[in-house]
Amino acid sequence: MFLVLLFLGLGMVSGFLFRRRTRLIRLADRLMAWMLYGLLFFLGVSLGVDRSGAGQLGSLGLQGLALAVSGIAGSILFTRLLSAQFFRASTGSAHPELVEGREARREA
Amino acid sequence: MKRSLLMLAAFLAGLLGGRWALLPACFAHPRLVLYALCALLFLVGIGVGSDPRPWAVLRARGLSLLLIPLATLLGTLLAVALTSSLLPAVTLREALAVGSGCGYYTLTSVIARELSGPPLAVVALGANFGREILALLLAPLLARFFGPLAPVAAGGATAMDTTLPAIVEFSGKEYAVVALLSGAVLSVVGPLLVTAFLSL
Repeated sequence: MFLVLLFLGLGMVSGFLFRRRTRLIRLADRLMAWMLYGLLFFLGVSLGVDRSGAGQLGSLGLQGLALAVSGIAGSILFTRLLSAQFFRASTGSAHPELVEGREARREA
Repeated sequence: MKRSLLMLAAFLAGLLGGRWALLPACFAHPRLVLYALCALLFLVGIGVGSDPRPWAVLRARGLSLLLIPLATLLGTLLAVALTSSLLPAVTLREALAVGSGCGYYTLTSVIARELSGPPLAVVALGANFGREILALLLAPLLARFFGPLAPVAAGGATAMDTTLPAIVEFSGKEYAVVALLSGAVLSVVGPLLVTAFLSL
């Protein structure tokens, strides 16, 4: 956990220092999108080679998964209620989000 | 949708390759996930450090941003409490404990094993590792249909590390600092609540 946050911090400092090198920044963005598939791949491998607990998705693991699905649904519902109630007032936007307008959407 | 399927394909390729031992042995090195994550977060950092917008959100919203992890936690607890009534092997108290991990699977499953036993540790792993994987795989869909805060909520405690790249990619860089803050709060509060519920 510490190591991961250290790399995040190092990245932020480098990003700040090189913030005017737009091509470099864009390259980092592009690379990140691809690395995401790599992370999923290695998460899959780590689960696949594990023959003890989680790899063998039995009844207990499935009941855990049901809790995962419902937990995600509940948390999204509550944050949506929160942003509709709370964050909407200050943005005055019809789309209740933290950031005004649609710029939050990824530019293609 | 396409991106979700691509991520699912990458995950399944790794899973089946690992299961059937199709990959070179070095691929199974347990630290590879960590290295991939470090490289990813370095790249995320470059994007976030070079862009003033993520920090502007923090300045504009201040402490009210803490409501996001609070809503995430309360929504999770309510939902797992309701779900537990349908599950034969999980009591209400256990569901609340496992759910408060909010995706932090390493610590949650260890605490569950210590304070309850191996069966609950498996449930805790399924619930929290499952949450992390689903939050990653579904991030594009969640952002599109439920707004950019949805991947942050789904990520829970992992919004500060594993799912942060997906949040930056699909919700936008503006949500990076929000995600970090929410993930950090849940990474501290979550394990405390797991312990508290299991000690009741």
